[in-house]
Amino acid sequence: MIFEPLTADDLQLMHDQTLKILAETGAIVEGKEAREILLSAGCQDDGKRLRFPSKLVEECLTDPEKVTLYGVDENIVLPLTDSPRTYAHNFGSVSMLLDHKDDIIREALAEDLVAYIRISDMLPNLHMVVPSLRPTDLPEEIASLAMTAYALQNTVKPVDIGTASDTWEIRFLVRIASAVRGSLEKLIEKPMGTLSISPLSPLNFPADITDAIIESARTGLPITMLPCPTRGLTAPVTLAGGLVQQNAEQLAFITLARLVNRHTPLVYTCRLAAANMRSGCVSGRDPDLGFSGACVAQIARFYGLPSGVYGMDTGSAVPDIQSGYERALNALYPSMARATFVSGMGSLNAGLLASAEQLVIDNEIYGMVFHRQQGINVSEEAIGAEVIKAVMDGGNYLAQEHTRNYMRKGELFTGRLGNESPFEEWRSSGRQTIREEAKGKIDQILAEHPGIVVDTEISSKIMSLLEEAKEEKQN
Amino acid sequence: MPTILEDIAQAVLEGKRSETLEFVKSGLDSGIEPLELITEGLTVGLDQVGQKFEEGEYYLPDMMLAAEAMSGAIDFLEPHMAKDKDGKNENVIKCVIGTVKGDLHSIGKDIVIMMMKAAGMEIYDLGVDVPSAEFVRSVEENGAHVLGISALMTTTIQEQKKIIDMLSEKGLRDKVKVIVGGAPLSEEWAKKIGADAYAADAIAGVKKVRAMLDL
Repeated sequence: MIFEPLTADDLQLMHDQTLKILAETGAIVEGKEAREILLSAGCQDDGKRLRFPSKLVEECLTDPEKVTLYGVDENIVLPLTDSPRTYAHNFGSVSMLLDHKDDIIREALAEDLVAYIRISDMLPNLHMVVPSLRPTDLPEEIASLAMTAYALQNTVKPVDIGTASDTWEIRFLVRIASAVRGSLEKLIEKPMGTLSISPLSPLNFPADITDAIIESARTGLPITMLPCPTRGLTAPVTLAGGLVQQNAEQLAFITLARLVNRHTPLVYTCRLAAANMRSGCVSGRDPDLGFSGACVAQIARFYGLPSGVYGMDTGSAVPDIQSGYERALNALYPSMARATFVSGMGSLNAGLLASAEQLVIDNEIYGMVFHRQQGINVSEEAIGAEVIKAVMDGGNYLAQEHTRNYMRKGELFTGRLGNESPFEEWRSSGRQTIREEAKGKIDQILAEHPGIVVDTEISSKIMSLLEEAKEEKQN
Repeated sequence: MPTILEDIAQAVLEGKRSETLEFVKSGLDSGIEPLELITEGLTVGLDQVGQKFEEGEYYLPDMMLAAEAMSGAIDFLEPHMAKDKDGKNENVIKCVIGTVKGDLHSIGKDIVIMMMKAAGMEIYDLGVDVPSAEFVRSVEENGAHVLGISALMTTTIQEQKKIIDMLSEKGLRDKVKVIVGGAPLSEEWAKKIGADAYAADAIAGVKKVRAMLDL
């Protein structure tokens, strides 16, 4: 079962309106090379913006490249196109965290980043590791590179290669990621992640961004196209309007990327949020966050592209009841719509804070959300009329093969966190809360993690690239 | 029958741009002084808007539409006021504001500007992606009382420190109050980089500016 909030007519109207917006309003596109590429492909310059002919856009939408990611350990394979399930990853680039030891909010340090990556590495419901923290004790000019460098050494899972803001950064990110595979060719063959690029909303592609798109498309690595409009501030306030403007941003992005390299693998990733109309900030308490993610999953499928959406988020600054229900709700909608990626693990306060406690709790939430990803097995064997008869004839469900077999196949959800003991047991064993359980889990995971997972040779290659980048920046 | 001044205030309250302008034009035609149209009409409406916002009835779009209705009417009245202009009000608070180099986010800054204008401050908006020296130059040139520095990304907030350091180098630091804003910021950050204040949102920002200047 896949939840599909949009009808076929809805999707067609949204597509048509998107083409109309691109053809009649157009997008702000800066950067000499991008403008040349688009103009020579038939875009028109109206003096302010480039307008995209519908025919060109539609041509660039045909036969999208299939996307598959591999772990730092190549045996881990995540097929993204037509994915059989939803995968989860954590939130990225937060510089403040809620310390799980003494409960204070403080700046993130490099050692915290390593710990967060190792925790992410060990959580079964987290499928791709995004460097969660932007440590404040790293040299600012190479912080983005260092984040990726640390991630690649401390997890076997797929790793987000990085959010690229300029071509220099992309070149180094690609070299660092190539070091893990041994060569650029091998990296392209088995990418462990994507390069993420965010245009501005509404419909604005500054020169750094178009240069980054061109540079990334040329490498042939998969690109996460990541517009982040906010309804009522940088996009129409309506959900339909927000989705369509975001779609126009995606289609303009796709057009440029595929004109550069027809075979660029692309992931349709969106962060459509709603505004808090009293503060002018992004709302972290918005149930549409999850619902719009479900719509995005459907729109991306309409174009044959894998999708990435918010998933869980919360306005709360601590792991509490508010963060629990807001995250569960926003995680559920897009997962039911079979979005390829849902995000948000380990974030609080609308993405302004990171929390290791929340990270392990989120593993539990996604575990519950994903429990019925494959739907329900309705077969004569699964129903088990024979088993019912056997029990009625004097047997016992616990002693049935049927029970044991289906239990092992995951018919029953088995959680790792959270209380379900009768209150007497809970009370006598110290009245532990979910936060206390999570804190214990963090210590346990960090003690169990093997540490650096790549060969020493690869590790020193990565660190020397980081040094090289630092020297280049200093000169 | 409401008076024309009441009509003007009501039109501002409802954020109706063209109606506000029409009432102001007919007010002017019937012989009301431009200054009176502003102080007894437009400003009365905007004050009510501010009050409704404080009470939780109005939201940012209500504020924005009202402020636009008001500024459209003031633009129209300005040429008619030339004759009573005996020089600028020296008491007005002058604010230089912009988004740092490398950062193209404008919406937060624009909301702050709207609130500052509604509070009667004079704004020098430098826009987005503004080089550090430009902030410093504008503070010096305009004799600004307040400098607002916006940055939205963890990668660009360092620029705020550069600007403050540059103010110190030029001997301007104690002449201007510096307030910083942006989603990834905190009080600690503001303190660390030597800013005078941090504000989480536009409303808090205006309050802090007024408090810093003892208003």
